[in-house]
Amino acid sequence: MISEDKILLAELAAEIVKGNELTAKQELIFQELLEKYPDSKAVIEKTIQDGILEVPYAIGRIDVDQELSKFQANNPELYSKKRSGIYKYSWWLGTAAAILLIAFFIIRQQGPTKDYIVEDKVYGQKNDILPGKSGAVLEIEGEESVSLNDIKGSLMLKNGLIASSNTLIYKNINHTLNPFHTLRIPIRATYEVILSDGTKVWVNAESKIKYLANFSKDERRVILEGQAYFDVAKDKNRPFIVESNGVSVQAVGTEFDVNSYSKDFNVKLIEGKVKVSAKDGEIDLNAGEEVEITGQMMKVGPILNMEEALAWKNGYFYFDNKNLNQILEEVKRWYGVNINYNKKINQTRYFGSISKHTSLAEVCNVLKDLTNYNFRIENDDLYIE
Amino acid sequence: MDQFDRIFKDYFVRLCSYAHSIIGSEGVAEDMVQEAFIVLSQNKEVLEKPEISIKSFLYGSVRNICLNHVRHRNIGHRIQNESVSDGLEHSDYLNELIKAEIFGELHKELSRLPKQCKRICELIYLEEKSYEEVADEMDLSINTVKTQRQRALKYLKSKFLAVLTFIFFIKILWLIYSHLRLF
Repeated sequence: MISEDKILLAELAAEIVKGNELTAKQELIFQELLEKYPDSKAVIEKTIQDGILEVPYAIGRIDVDQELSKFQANNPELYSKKRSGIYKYSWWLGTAAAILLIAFFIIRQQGPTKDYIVEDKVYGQKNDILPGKSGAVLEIEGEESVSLNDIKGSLMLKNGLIASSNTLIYKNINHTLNPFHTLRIPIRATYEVILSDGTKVWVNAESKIKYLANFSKDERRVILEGQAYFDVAKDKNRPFIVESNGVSVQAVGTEFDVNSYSKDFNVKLIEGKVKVSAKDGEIDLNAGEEVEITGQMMKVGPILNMEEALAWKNGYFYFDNKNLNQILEEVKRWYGVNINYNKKINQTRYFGSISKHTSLAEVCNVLKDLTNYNFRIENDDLYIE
Repeated sequence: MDQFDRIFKDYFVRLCSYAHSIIGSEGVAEDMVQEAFIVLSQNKEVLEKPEISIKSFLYGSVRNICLNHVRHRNIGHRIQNESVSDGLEHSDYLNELIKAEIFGELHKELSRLPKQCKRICELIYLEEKSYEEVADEMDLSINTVKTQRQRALKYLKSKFLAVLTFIFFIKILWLIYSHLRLF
């Protein structure tokens, strides 16, 4: 990695050479960066004033399309899956994010430290990070949002909703209107909800689920972003439909997990039968099967490890044949840390499980033994070395 | 892989420029950058970060790959010059990075020119062909060739000249296209 402010400095210099005027904020950042990296001043001035940029002839003649074809030919496994959704960040969005990042950094340095960052006395880390906990924010259309964090006992919300520290229950809801409710689970949290039909949903960190307070007469429809596990109450007359990323999963009474965190969409069916429909087709899934949807491709297979499928909702990091990247994705969501790779990591696959109730330093200790990489915690950054 | 391919296309040339400034040999720079993209493909989570983080990852990978390359190359020379690879670890080659970004942006603008327009410029400036030869090769009239060339220059000027004088602009192009004269 090269520090992002150096990239930003180079980008701003390129903007100036292009003749684009910097905004006042950019100008300020540019000046600050020049002060931080005084040696770069000369090269920027030289380029701007003398218009001199020495790049060999051959570099300017590189045929990018040809290079890309070469890359694709050499790495066919990357392209064997069908094309999937695209993130379209513009160059400016990147820059804006960097500015925000810097602003955030400045604010963070002055602001109070986070309460989940604690001292580590056991493992010799700079600090430890407590695990996530139950929590969510409920947004009701046309009303103020309600925080469902740190509820003691149970709490009766208006309209007959009941919330406890880890579950929200819809029972005998007396809405005159029937508005959409959105349950938003932040990073470092999970939450459970029992919907108006009795269906129980476990919603994972960094996810969002939207539904009508009272389902309609002919269907039960929820919209999901992220990951959730559904234990659907039986109701033959009203199919239960989960919509997520353009894919819909339809069930009558069954148990299944929907994971739409990455572009690779995954549904695991534990019990019963569901119908999964994507843009380019639909398939019936039987109990014990899972489907992976990547772009237009649907790949069905047996769930190889049932325990793994259920682990997250039962409070475990469980990995069977996962590489370190995949393991750390989940760690990142549960501890709210940034993962920084200071070393090129290999694709070795691991097997194991760790309780989600342990602190990050302890998890790192287990992972260190397992993988032989060094894990260093610094504030809410995790470095792999 | 759409996002990946776009990033590949957007950054390939500037990363080559950066790689070249570290290893100093042309053909190999492309190989180093190809390798950096393999590293990126193995770290898919990086793709979900803001663009600047992806860039930081790519530049960092290119630097590390190039330094490894240099070290291997230097093994044979160690006795003559022990300090060849010393100190390399601590450098991010910031100046080279800045140059690479500027060049990358300029190259991007060049590639945005309409195909015919670009081809005409290439023939004139890179292959040093005369208007007549270009007109002949592309089956166009000489006047078309001249206007297309003008259009290209005008476009590039509008992108790059707000702070540079015309002469500097020529210099930049001149140096990029290494020792070829515009006029």
